[in-house]
Amino acid sequence: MQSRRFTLVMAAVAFIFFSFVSVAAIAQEAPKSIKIGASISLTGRFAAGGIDVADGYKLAVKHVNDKGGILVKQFNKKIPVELIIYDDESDPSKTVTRLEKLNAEKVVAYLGEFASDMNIAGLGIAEKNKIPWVGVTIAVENVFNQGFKYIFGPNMFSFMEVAAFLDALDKIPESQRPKKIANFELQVDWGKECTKYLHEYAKKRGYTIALEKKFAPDTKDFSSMIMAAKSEGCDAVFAVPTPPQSMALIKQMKELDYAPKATCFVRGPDLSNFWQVMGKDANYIMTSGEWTPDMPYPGNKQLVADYRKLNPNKLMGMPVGNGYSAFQVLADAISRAEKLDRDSIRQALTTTNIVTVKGKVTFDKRGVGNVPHVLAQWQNGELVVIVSPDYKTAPVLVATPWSKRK
Amino acid sequence: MVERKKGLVIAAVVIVALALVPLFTGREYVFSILCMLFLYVTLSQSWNILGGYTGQINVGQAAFFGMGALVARLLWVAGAPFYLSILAGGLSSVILAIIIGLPALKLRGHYFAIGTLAVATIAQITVGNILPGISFLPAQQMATYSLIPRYYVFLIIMAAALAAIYITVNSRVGLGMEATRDDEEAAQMVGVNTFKYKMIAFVISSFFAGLAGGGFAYFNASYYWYLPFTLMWCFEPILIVFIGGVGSFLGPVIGSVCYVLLKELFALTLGEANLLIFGIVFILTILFFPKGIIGLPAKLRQLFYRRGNVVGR
Amino acid sequence: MEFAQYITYGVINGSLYALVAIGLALIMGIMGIFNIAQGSLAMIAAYGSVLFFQHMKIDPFVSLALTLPAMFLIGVFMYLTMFMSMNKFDAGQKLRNSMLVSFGLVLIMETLATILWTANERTVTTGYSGTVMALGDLRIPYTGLATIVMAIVVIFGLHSFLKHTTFGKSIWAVSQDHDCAMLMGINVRRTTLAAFGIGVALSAFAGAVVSLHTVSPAVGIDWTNKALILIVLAGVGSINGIFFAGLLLGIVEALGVYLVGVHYTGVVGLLIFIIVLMLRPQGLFVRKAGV
Repeated sequence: MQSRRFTLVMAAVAFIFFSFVSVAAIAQEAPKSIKIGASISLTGRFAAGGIDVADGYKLAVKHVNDKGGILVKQFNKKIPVELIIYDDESDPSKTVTRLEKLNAEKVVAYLGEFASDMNIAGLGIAEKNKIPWVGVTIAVENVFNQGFKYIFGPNMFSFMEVAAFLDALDKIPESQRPKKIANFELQVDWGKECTKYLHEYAKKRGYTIALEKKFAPDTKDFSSMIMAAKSEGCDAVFAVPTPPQSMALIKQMKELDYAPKATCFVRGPDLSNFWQVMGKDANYIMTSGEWTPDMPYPGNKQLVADYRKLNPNKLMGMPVGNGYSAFQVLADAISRAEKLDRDSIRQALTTTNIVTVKGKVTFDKRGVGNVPHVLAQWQNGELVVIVSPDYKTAPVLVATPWSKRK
Repeated sequence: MVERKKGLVIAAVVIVALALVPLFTGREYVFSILCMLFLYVTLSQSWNILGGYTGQINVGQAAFFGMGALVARLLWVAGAPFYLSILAGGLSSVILAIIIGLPALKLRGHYFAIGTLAVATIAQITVGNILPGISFLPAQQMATYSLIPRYYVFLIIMAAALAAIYITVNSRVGLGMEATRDDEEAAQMVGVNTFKYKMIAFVISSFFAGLAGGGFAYFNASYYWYLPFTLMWCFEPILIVFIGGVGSFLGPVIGSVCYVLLKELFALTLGEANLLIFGIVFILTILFFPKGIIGLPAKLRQLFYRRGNVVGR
Repeated sequence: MEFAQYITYGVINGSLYALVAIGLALIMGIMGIFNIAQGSLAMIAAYGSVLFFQHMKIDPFVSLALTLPAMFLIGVFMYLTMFMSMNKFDAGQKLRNSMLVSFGLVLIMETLATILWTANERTVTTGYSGTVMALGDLRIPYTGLATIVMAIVVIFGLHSFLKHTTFGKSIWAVSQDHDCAMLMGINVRRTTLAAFGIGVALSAFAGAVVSLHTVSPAVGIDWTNKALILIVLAGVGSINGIFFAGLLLGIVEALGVYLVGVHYTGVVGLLIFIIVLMLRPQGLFVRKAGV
């Protein structure tokens, strides 16, 4: 008798215990925060862009968390975002270990950083760890031809930059329009990709590449290239120099009295302090216009106002807006993801279609972003957008000879 | 003799313990950090045999590290098995070392140093110009990527490097190397073929630097081709060996552990100022341990001896 | 006359290399301290010039009056806190430990510069930037001309100072023989302190010119590498030779464009350097150990 009762009691206890366990297992607790990770160059050679990108991310996270967080479908509640940023000291080997650490901390997504050297190492880790990776400035299209599934680049790529440059030339009235382009090819994959597209597009659109010269990241003296372009009669120049090279190039062009009608340095003059340091020698220089503080897209005014409040003595750099936009893309995907896990977020990213602070973003099958083709130009102290598919821009200014400039 | 036997036993225990780590944790972060640590131990010990034991300060180790990585990656991505690719990387570095060493080892002291630095700079610029793009893993290797084999590859390379260098420095060859370091002219006068010993050291040094490079190529999913040629790979092994204690066997090991782990810790916890604090710690270490961290036990003994004296009064 | 134009830029760049190297030549050649941070010191001095120009509109050549003493004081501080304790080491250990300590300084200076002034590229563009002295088709930028003149004045001036002034001769004496100099009544401590301070202060000249080119926190090591090449080319201990070594490197790099593309001119310079190293390792401008 007693043993049977004992067995019944034990069975009841076991039943209740296992019910609790199974109910607890089914009713999964919503996590306290959505963990997102990034390895960024806060120190070292690429710290300039790195710090700006980090600032853009942090502001975007703040705006999202101010509203309570991202509304996650799986739990039907808003969960705040926890952004974890580690410094990789501008060293791609350290990017790898930092991202592995973030993987160990169970981030649901990675955000990219400013410089290619690190981004390349990072996206490889993202792909192998099967964690979605949203880039911020990754202009090399070749990366997305490798069949990777987890990487997304919501920014302008080499072929868009070349197209935008030719768009700008098209906008110049026929009588003044430059026809002979000098291509200064920086010996990096991005530079070579731009060359490929320049050749492909220029002919179709009525321009010739009259001169092509190669230079390396350590080149400091551009006299032979400039003199060749001048003697060849090139009235337009295209290059993707490093920021110090963009300054040195312009200074040497002035010394050698070479002022082509259109000069486009995609990188370098996009630094917010470019006019401040170059003075009026920066006038007429075209550069990447991917994001400027004056763009009329939703959310931009708030972003600019908040940034300036936090950084009253700092000029607002392009990577800040690019970073903010990248986070918007990721946050949007998280809100549309069926579940709060890496593969669901990856799936949601593929169907992205939102308007960020730099315009509409969608992705093609490879993860290459469709974003507005934009080019900007330094005009009398302001970085002005001169090419945009979404709104009317300022006219393109044609450069005057050095001696005629006041 | 007993000391040495004790040391060997400890070393064997450590290696076995490290080999068992994957059984206790699956955390990839631990593996990637340890892989980097093993890489730095290998690279700095390979520098040490030429720089610390033979006295030839080579500031161009990146050329051999890079060469190994380049050859290994090319072969592996083309389909060769990874262990053969890595081995080929090591051998290609040796060939490069012989080509460079025949003229270069005639240079003495800081001339050899600056000459090797020039060679490494030429290598970096040239590779950057010829291969300005990225090395990607083919989709199949990407899908089957696991850190565990890479962990063992680095562990084996490190163990092999430590064993080979230990045996060398404790042999007659090692005596020849140290004689060359201590006074090259005097050694030559007593009939030591210093050039031969310098070349042997150079070959061993480049072989393991090349193997480390091969490991690097096997480890990284995607990287710029010129990355293993950047000059930081020249400077870091030298710093590590000196911080640890140059010309000692454990110096590179201690130095690597401190350098890699400390830098990682600071980067994770100190944010923007991490390199600043690391630099300060670094300087203080050198000012207080001018012979390297390996001098720490002796320094502590010194402190305690003095203290004991005072108390005893 | 493009050949002449290339040579002009070669001479200008070479003069800049020489200005970076001269401080290191004094510190390393005369004092046996391997200061890897010399390039980073030039970077700090360049930031000084940039800030004086940006906030007070002072021309970099004029703000030298401020950056020179500032760098001298930094040098004094560095010596007292870090390098003075190394005098008890033998030459080899002194070189080695000073190299390590100065490497730590490179990290510190780079990070401080990034925190204080952001890592954005800076340059100074004065009213006369880009203006040239035209000799027919040849265009000699005035900033370049000033660089060349300054390099000549500073380097040959330093040489004269070391050879012909009492204090200069005492620096030289101390470097030759510590104890002997002391016996002769030279205040060795003060002399080495001042010599190091001067060596660091010399980077202010390089800084002024660098500010007219471009500067960012991470450029230190690159400049130090160039300086090391010049020191070996000229011969350790040579002062005047630094100027000629700089010219040689600058011109070789500039003319390399006739042999290879612009992207390989760096390699041409290094190859010529290696050839000189193999043929005449003691340096081109040194007959034996001497200035």
